[in-house]
Amino acid sequence: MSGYTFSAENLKEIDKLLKRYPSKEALTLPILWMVQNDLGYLSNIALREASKILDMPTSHFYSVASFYTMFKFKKSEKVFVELCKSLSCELNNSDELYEYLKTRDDIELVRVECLGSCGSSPMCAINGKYHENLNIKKLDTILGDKDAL
Amino acid sequence: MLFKNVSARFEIENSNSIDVILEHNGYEMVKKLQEFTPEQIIQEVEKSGLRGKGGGGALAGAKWRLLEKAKGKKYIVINADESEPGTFKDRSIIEKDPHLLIEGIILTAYALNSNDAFIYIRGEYQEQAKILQKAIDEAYEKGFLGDETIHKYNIHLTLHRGAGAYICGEKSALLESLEGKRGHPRLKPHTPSPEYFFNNPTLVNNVETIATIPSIIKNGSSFYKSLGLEPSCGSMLFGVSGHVNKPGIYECEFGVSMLDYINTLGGGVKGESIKAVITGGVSTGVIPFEIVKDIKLTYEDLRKAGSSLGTGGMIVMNESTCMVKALKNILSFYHDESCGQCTPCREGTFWVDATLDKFLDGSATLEDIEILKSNSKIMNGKTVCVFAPSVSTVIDSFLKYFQDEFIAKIKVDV
Repeated sequence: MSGYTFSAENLKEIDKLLKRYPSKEALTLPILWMVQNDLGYLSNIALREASKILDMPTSHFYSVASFYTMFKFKKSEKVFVELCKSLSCELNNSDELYEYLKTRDDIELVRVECLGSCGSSPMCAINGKYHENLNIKKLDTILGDKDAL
Repeated sequence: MLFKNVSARFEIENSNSIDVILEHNGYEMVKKLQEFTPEQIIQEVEKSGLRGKGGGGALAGAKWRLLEKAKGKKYIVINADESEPGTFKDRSIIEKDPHLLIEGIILTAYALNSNDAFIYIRGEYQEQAKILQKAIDEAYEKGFLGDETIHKYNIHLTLHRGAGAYICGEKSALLESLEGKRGHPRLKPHTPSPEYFFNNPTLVNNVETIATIPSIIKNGSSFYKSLGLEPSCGSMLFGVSGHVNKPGIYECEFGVSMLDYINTLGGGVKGESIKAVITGGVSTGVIPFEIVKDIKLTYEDLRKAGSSLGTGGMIVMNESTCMVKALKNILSFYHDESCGQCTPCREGTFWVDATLDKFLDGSATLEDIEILKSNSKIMNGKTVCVFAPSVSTVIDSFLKYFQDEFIAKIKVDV
């Protein structure tokens, strides 16, 4: 496997951020996001490269990243659906959406905690994008249009 | 009933664009920044009676004063880690008037002699982060942020994304996270003191709190103080969701009736009748209709009712709601989100979550009610942060008002 290089744009952003924070350790999350946005997950090779930039051990990145639910260590091969399971969504029948989504094998489904859409529940995020005021029919249409996802 | 102060520009088309907002008094107070001394701004905030809108409701001015007195390089951090179920108000400010927030940040930083501010936004708010970043870039271009600003005060503002952790809404966990660590809350000092970001004194304020500052400076502290019902001064972006016909965020003065709010702005209950309301995000506990009908939306009224105003995000439940299932939903949330640092919280949320499963699958016994109660006691007051005590409040409130429903689920004879 070949190595990982941060893009020129990301390196420029890192330089800018280094001036903003009192200590370079604070760049941990921003750099983890750069890698995940680039690869879709956090690869070992990329984290080793990140450790060189911040001059911190690779294990630091693993330790921090594993605390946060949004960081992935494996790439999602399918459409990634995060169904909100919090109370307002549940009161508005998110269980029904869950039963429906479980039957689809073309998606990777996770039930997540409140995504801050209680006023437009039930909802889910598909590949990170919010879809609100859902019902099965609407969800079916959204998932049917693979190009738009 | 509606009172638009922070939400005054929400309905304007493209209200998150700087060109649009500049035609609607955008950055008005920042343009006049040099007409005020920092002390004047702090005093206005102190006199206004403004209270933190993130859930705690502590006086904002007192918190500012702690930072003002601290020595060393100072930082301002905006808490946009809105993750409390039932709460979606900060999101509305970010989406509909991000420049109001930036204006508030500039005023705050100037008042407290800080040149560096950060907004910590929850990772899931990806679209909102884009809107905010665009707004920040625009403010740099127009000379409101940066090293050579038109208001002659240097300030840099950086957007920092979280990555999925409810606990990072707790201010000290947020700062740990901002420092590039796991989001574990810190031990608190016994005397009032500011927060610290890499050992530098720091102010952490909620999005809505800071977005209120421009209106206080513009209209004067006495105007803000005259709103609401003292000591709950001013207005708040209350929200309503769950079993209502018109869920959403509607700004009101403090002191309006909770029931009127739900029935008029919230469009009334979906279903026959209101059974119970969770008052301000799930961590505030539940109150039954008999209490709801007499509640005014103030910190004091809700405190008297054994609940709290929290984030102002109400969740309405109608007569068909199973309260055991509702508590299970909330506890599964806490179980997922406990940071794991303190044993009573890590283990307690697990046990209560597992015990509630027994009620739902019919295997619970009377002893399980006692297990819920004893776990609640174990979690209260024995942890680093207020996460576990909030869990206790929630369990206690459900058992106080709806214990019958839990007992009705017991099918096993012992």
